[in-house]
Amino acid sequence: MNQQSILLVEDSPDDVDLTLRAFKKNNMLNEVFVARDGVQAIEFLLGKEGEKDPNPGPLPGLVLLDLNLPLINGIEVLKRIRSEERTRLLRVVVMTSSREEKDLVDSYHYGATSYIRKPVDFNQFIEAVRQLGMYWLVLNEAPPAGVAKP
Amino acid sequence: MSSRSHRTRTVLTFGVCLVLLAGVHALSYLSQRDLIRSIEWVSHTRDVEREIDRLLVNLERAQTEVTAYQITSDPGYVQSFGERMVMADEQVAKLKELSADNPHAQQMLDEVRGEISESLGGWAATYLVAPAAPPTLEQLSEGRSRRREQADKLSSKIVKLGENENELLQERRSAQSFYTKLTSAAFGAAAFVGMVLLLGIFTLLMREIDLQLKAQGTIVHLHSGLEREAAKLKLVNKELETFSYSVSHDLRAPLRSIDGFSHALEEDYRDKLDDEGRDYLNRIRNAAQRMGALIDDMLELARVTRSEMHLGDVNLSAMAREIMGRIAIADGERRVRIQIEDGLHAWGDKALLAVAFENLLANAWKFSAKNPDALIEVGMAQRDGERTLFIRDNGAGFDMRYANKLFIPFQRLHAVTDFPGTGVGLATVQRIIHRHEGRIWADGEVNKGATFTFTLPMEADDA
Repeated sequence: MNQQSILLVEDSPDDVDLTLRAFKKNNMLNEVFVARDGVQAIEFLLGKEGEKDPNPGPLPGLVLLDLNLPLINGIEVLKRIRSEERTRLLRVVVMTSSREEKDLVDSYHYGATSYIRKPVDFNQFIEAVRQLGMYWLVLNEAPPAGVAKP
Repeated sequence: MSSRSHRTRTVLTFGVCLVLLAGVHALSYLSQRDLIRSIEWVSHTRDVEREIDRLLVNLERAQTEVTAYQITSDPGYVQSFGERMVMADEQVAKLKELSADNPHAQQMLDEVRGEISESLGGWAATYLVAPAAPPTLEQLSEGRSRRREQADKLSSKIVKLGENENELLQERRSAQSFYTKLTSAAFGAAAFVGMVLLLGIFTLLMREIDLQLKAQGTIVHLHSGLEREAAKLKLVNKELETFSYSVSHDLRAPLRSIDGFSHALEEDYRDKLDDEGRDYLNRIRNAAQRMGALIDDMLELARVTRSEMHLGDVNLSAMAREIMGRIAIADGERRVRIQIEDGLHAWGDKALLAVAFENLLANAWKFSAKNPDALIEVGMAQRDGERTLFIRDNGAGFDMRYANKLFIPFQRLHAVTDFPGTGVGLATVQRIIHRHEGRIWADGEVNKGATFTFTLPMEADDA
């Protein structure tokens, strides 16, 4: 598999462990970074707010974004990602418990790449993660790095 | 009091008022007319009196002038005697004209006229021709007294005429005062009746206005009450939404942990568990997943109850075919005969009706699983002049004794091990049908199948 990294934005330690386990089950060996809240996610992607010369690391190939997050919620994180030149084209898959129409509509409205509802059945979850990794990290052709505004 | 009888009463009252007012005004008009007429009469009588005075003066002067001529023999005194005669005649004629309405006066005037012309003419013939010799004193005195006598006779007659006319005036005066009284009485009565009527109308109107204000107050009160209720309801709905949102999020998260870590335990510690331990883990996972399914179905039921309806014509035949196709693909191993009538449609919310059909068709599919010759029918039937739609299967059916429990949430008529499910599906279907102002009921027989019959509006007006 491709070695693009993954940013997992998730506050529940259980969900972090289970998600990592699902990666492992699917032999996805990509480097995984975990952000425990919205602020950490934004700092990881865009650098610390207010610093003169923010020097964030390389962008991940995929962001898995929970919606219910402490400090700054998922939709706000998504808005920030889409409003910054650096992260405008980043692939952000919303992965959440909710199936509320409002969350679905909001996510797509603010530019989510995809929306996945975490199933209760762990077998189904493993399958979902497998398909997700296969599609976004292997099959899908990513936009070339440093694409500027058209 | 009903508003109709109230109306009738108002119209009647108003009619009576109008008639009263009109009567009073007619009366006062009539008496006013009579008053004007009697005033005219009075002034007329005065004219007659004035004319009589003039005639008397004229005659007196004529007599005096003749006497002066006799004494002085100065013709200057009688040079206008002819004019006096003409004047007297004219004055009598005028009097006749003025008293044309009084036959007695006419008659008297005719007599007076004759006597005047006789007396004056006689005087002219006797005294105004130049005498051969100046008259003696005796002659003078005799002529004078004769003329005096004649003039007095005339005067008395004329004065009588005046008295007659004066009597008339008195009569008319009293008539006038009677009419004056009548008129003022009529005007007074009109004013009084008018005021009473106005007061009555004012009172009635005030009562109406008060009633209306009260009614308006009640309406405003009711309205604000409704608004408060609506606001409360909105708040409750909002709370319910927040509640189901947090159920959706927070209640499912622990279930994922339970299932996920049970799965991990099962895999990573398989060697350290015996069959019983693994069975327990399996049961934990089943329970977690079942609770997940229950939560999902409950949320669906809540969503179906509160979601906004977007009404339109829905092609139920096409909808049923599409859903049936999807179910058949998901469970590709079974062979089931499907019969869906063409041209089924209804006026309703497409998304909600799809949820109802999905539940009913999935049930039909599920409960006919043990029949190798399964048949699912979707169609239409007339029942007591009403169109009904039905979904029928020849599967497990149910005991009609429990038919009333079918639509209660979480009530199941079959063991989960026989036919899986949460027991919320039919409750959801019923809510959807009810939200379309329809009815739904079920007929069935154990091992013969079940028929779900329901009504839905066909046109926009039916809803």
